[in-house]
Amino acid sequence: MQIETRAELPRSEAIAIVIAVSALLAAAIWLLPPAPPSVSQHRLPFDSAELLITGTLTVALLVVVAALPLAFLSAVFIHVLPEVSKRRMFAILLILAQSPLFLWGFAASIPLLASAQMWPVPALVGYFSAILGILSFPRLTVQILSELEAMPEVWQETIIGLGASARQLYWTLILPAARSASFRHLFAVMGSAMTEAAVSLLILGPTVTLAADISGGLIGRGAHQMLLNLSTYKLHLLFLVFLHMLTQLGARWRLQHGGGRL
Amino acid sequence: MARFGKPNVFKMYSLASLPLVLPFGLLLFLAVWAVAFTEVWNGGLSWGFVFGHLLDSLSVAVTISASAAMTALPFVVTAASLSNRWFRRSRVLANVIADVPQLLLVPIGALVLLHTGSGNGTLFLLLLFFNGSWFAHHSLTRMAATRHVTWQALQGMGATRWQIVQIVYLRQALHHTLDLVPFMVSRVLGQVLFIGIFAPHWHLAPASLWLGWTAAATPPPLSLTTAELLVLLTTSLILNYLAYRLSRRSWEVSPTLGHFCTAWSEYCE
Repeated sequence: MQIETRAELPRSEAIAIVIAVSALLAAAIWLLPPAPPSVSQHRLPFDSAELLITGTLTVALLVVVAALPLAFLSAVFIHVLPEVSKRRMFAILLILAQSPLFLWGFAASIPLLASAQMWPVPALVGYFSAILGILSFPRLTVQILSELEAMPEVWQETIIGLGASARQLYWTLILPAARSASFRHLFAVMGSAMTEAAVSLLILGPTVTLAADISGGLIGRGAHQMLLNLSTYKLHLLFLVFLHMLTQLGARWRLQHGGGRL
Repeated sequence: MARFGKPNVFKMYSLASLPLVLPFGLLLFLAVWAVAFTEVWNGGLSWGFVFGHLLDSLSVAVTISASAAMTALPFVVTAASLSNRWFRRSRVLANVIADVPQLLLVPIGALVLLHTGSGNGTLFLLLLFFNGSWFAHHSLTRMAATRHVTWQALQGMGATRWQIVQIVYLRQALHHTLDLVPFMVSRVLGQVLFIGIFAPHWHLAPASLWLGWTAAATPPPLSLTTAELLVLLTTSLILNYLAYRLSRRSWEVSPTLGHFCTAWSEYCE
């Protein structure tokens, strides 16, 4: 077998795999048995659809706004640490990123639940997005840091050898690399934020996202009842599959055209 | 950066830790503040209850993680034995499946449940599939880091494809099982909590932590003291620290280029 130097799959094949998996998910949703007339139909009427879709997209966007600066700054600052310190910080980052973040989401929802008054919807959405952003950013940081660390040492050596200052090193090499890595991985963060349901359910009283709406309808159901109820959310689920597919496609697209692999 | 003079490590540490400490510290502060200063929340929750649930959750998570890793092992070894092109395709497939959000797996679970009628079996299958793909993705990513060298070296020595699989990939995959299972345990813990919210009738141990709170139309006050909250959060971090210590090898792939070019990175090639 010939060893190829190019390590990535052609973009078209990666995209085909994403579409195939999404189509399978969509087929599973489509195959759900129809709900009997006795179960109240949740048909995603246009007035509520607008709110739910807008809410989902707003939350995803706000999550990115919250997660991006945190991930970017922490990745860059950790990257320039001395070797031993860098390893320690990476360990902390990994422990945070891989920990069951539901527990943190649970902790973060306590102020809302303990509050005597119902919060207004925009405040709820803002708070909820900030929490999701905080919970997502360690994973984004790990990815950015991995790309920064994969930069060939010789690039840095060359720039320093040409007489660049520390500031110039930042501006010409580290920041552009971190920026390109951040935007490559943002799509995945947006995708998970769009379908994140559990924390939204704990925090949001009124359901303003598709995921929270589905969660609200399924909570506490018995197995049979849950199945019937789930089939009334086909359109919600199909829309979420569509959004998930778009973010995955975006991630694959950027992987190839996001400024080149470092 | 050392060649620009002696680095001020304290300053660098502070800068690097601020983006981590600030948001998580804020979350912790808000939670502790809300629990400590709101009378409704000062109920009692026994330590035995909390630890009992954590132990139950851990045993469930360990079983599921080990089973998922063993189930995905044949896929990993088969993918490694294929040509480069099919190896990459398998990697992307495992990655795409592992990235599917948990909420979108619920319909698949519902369909299986409809045909089998077994709630616990369905749940076990779903978790096996979902975490198996995660294991396969990270195992294949790590294999990709050394694939170039191993194929070239062993082929140069005249080994057949089957011999390379036996000598290298089977052992690598087994090593990955040991390395990745600890982290998979904490991942499964999160999923089990998630399932507790969606399907409390499946009676997974940690689900009870949420019961009576999420299942009720009007959630009753949660009886949790500040100390118990802190214990819960600290325990999750300690568990992950242990997982990290146990799986050190999985992130020390390459001693030269990219120390963090690890099992956790998409760019480990």
